[in-house]
Amino acid sequence: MTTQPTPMLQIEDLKVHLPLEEGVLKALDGVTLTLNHGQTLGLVGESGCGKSMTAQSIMRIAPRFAQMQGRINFHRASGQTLDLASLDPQGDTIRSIRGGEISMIFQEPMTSFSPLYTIGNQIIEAIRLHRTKDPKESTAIAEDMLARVGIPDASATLNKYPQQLSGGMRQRAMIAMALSCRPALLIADEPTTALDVTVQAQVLKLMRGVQAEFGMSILYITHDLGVIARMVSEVAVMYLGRIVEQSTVDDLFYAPRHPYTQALLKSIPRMGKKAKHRLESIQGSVPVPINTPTGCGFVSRCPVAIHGLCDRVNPPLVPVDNGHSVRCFLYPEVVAAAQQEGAVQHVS
Amino acid sequence: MGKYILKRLLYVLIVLGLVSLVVFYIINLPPGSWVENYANELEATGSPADRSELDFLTTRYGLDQPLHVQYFRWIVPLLTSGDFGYSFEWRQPVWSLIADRLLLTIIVSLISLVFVYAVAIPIALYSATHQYSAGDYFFSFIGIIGLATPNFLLALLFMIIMLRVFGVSPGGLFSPEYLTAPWSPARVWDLLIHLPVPVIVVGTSGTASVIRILRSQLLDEFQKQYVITARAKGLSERWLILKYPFRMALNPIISNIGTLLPGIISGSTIVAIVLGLPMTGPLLLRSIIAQDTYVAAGILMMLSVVTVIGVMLSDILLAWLDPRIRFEKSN
Amino acid sequence: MEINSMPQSAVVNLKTEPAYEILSQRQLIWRKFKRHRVALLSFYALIALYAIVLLAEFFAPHGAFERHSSHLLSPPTTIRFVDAEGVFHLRPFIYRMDNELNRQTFQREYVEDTSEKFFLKFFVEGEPYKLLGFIDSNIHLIGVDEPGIFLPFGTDALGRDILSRLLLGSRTSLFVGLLGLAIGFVLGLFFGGISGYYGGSIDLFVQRLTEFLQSLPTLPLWMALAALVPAEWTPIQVYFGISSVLAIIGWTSLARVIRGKLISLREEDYVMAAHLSGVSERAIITRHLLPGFTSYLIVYLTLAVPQMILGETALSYLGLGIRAPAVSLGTLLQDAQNVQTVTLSPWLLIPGGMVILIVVAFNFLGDGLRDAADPYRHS
Repeated sequence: MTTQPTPMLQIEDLKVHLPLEEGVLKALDGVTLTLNHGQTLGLVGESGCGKSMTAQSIMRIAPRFAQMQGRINFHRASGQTLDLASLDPQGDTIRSIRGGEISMIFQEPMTSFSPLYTIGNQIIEAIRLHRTKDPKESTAIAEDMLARVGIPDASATLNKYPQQLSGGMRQRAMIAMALSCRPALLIADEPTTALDVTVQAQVLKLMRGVQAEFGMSILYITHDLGVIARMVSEVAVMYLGRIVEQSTVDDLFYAPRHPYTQALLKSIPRMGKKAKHRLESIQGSVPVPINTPTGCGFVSRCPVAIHGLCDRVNPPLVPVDNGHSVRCFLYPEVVAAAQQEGAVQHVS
Repeated sequence: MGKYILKRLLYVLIVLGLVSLVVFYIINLPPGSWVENYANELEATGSPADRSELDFLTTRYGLDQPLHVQYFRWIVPLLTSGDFGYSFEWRQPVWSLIADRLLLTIIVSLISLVFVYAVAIPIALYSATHQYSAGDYFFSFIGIIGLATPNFLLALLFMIIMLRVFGVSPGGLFSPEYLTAPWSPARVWDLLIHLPVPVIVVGTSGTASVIRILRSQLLDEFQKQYVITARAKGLSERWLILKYPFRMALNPIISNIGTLLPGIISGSTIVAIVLGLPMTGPLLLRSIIAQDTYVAAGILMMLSVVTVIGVMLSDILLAWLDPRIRFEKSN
Repeated sequence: MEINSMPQSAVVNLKTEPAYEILSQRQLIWRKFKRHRVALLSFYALIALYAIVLLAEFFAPHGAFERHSSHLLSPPTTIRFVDAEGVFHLRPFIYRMDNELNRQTFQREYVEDTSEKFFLKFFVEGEPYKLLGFIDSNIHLIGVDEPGIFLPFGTDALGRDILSRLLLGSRTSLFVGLLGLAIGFVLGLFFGGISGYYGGSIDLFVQRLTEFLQSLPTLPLWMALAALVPAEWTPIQVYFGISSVLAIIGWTSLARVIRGKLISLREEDYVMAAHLSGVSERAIITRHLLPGFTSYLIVYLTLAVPQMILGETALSYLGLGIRAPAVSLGTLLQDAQNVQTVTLSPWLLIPGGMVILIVVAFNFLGDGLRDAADPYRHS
């Protein structure tokens, strides 16, 4: 799929801090990300790196006590540009966007619907908020959507309770709900993680199908590199609240630049590889980003960290190749950019 | 659903059968009986005892028979003709003695139940949506005190405040002119204006506990995925909270009637004693002390009937409201 | 495919970051509990209270049955630092109160006699007593010299010092609570244990039994049961009797908790894992199941004590519980039954304040323990 040059969502230096008893948790520590019209962007990283927080921040459904800084510019179909970060999270403007222009699919199909209302009730609710108040029309739309995501006997499913559907069916219903208001941007937060492999494959196929049909942009969040390879054209790697590398998906897989990405790729089991090789894992575990010192977040686990530099200065995210940006001092472009910013005086 | 109700009804009947046994046994366990005590008393004073009446009572209720015979002599007329027996002390049928008091007990308990929910639900919603605010802390504090204050102490405090501030004694459920009057709209109105004090006193600890439970339920539910999903649809916060987490938290609250109702009946018993209300409480206390067997057994039995049936109704309500239980039962 | 992470002990720290600590369950619980300051305060307050009431005779300024016939329904003595002439004294003192008949209202009124100051002293000799039942003593912690009389909470209608009676009454109520709890605990552990352990028809029977007992109105049932305690019993027997009455109904919720916890624990993966690796049934119970719910037991026990105390107070207040001459918080409140008297002598309600304080402290403690018992759960 070719990327179109017009940006739809531009996140600039987004910081989300959670004041906790133990200290300030920097869930997002300066995320910069651009998503173009019609593009599928993958956001990949370990649990707790801030992927979901990024999604929740775009939707403005992050916990109320979270402190937010930075800009989330959203270019609407009407040509208007809105900074979502500046909106009141309970206000009318964000609510008209939420579920309408931007909608979201969540990880947990088992708990995403309330067990007390029928599937139909919960899907039609969204349609009536954003598309039509007419009861007949909204029911028809819901039924049509369920049919399109491959749910057999859609009209009967409308009257079923979530607990009467299987996990795969529930996730299909979830996708139907997210698509029912024809969003310009769909955020998929690990939509297949909780599903078993065969169902996962079906849902991935379905998502590719609906994107071809509806033509919206997708922000695809996952920790599964295999899914990334199948789903997206462009990918951003997150670590500890920051984007550490961004490139096309092929470039990332064949020429990873950041030591973290390299380690991540080595930890994937591969078919055909000789069994005598031990599967590599990344040394250490993700630190909890509470009261983190300045410097690169990966420094404590990095095999090639430069003492006196990586643990002192946070490298900027700089393009090192055509369309390939990385946040690591191993690359002269990054050092040069840091020097220009004045963050690094002289490097021997 | 019909099958479920039928099953519950059957269960209630078994429970009530057991209650009648337990109640009768407990009441008759203390040594001696009213008739014996009375006869002894009369003989001690030297006045001629009316043996014929005492003998009649002894044979009628089988007081000289083993306990299980006495039980059947009590339960059979109760079931067949609603005859609760005879009050030795008051020299009249038990039912005529307790009927009015029982009705008032039920009225006060039901209104207290309504009061508990009417007060607790808005406060819990406020506290949960304004967690750690000054209002939340205020209500938590009041709740903690409310849970810790014994009912009778609260009743006592109310009496003192009424006496000191307004110079009136809050005792009673009726003004003197309606005390023995037949039921009429005016009498109902008179009852209503006398209700606030007992209802508040009876309802306070229940209110405090419902606020506590509902608040923590709501806070738990707020974290649930389905709430986040609903928020991501663009629903307004107010509607969202009512439709999703609140509706969900309501179920445990309804099933909590099972513990709330026995508490309210207990509370109304002691509050009625302290405030001297014409309810079952004072009569129960008096009959237990005086070993007026059938009055005590009748009151205990009826209070249990009210509680058990109330709990059953709340179970049925819950099954009707919660599709999860409904499906489980029908499958 | 979740990205593998190594156990925390393998973390390699370059520098600056604090080292990870590995804490035992107990340390975690204590840490979390300490953060709940009100609970911690309640914990220390309750320990202090139990210590004080055990030594009640020493801490009380008077004997609990000692009648000060010239001071019937006397209001609390005011502790002063500034005397009638406006002179400040570093050492607190009191004036003697004398009653006079008010010729207008014809009521007895207490007036301070400011002619003589009585300084408060530590370790004053007074009414003899046996400390802990076997140490003969007549030393009281605080008091004044004769003919001064120190009545910090006033007196009742028989002229008995309320503070002294309060301490003794708190002892009864606090220990009736514990005793009732102990009996209820044995019953609850037994029924909950067999129910959760054996399951099947025993479980069904116990469950129906607890449901049955829980659906009955507690207080009326307590009243009927309390009437079973024979009138000729000694105070100690009554004490046991009332505790048992409270326990007979109180064990049900404990049994349910134990059963529920036992069943859910039995289905935990780590118990299954232990079974599969051939660990004996006995070892599973003692090593895996018991540690899993002792924390819950402690929480529920803590929250059950105030229920027992409230039950005892209510029964004693109605005259069905602890009986005179024994003193409990409930019997003390019996003196406050007459509204007219209480309106004129509000200090008779002080025992009620004590009940509230005790119950609040236990509730806070229970809440703190409940949060701490689950150290991984973030509220």
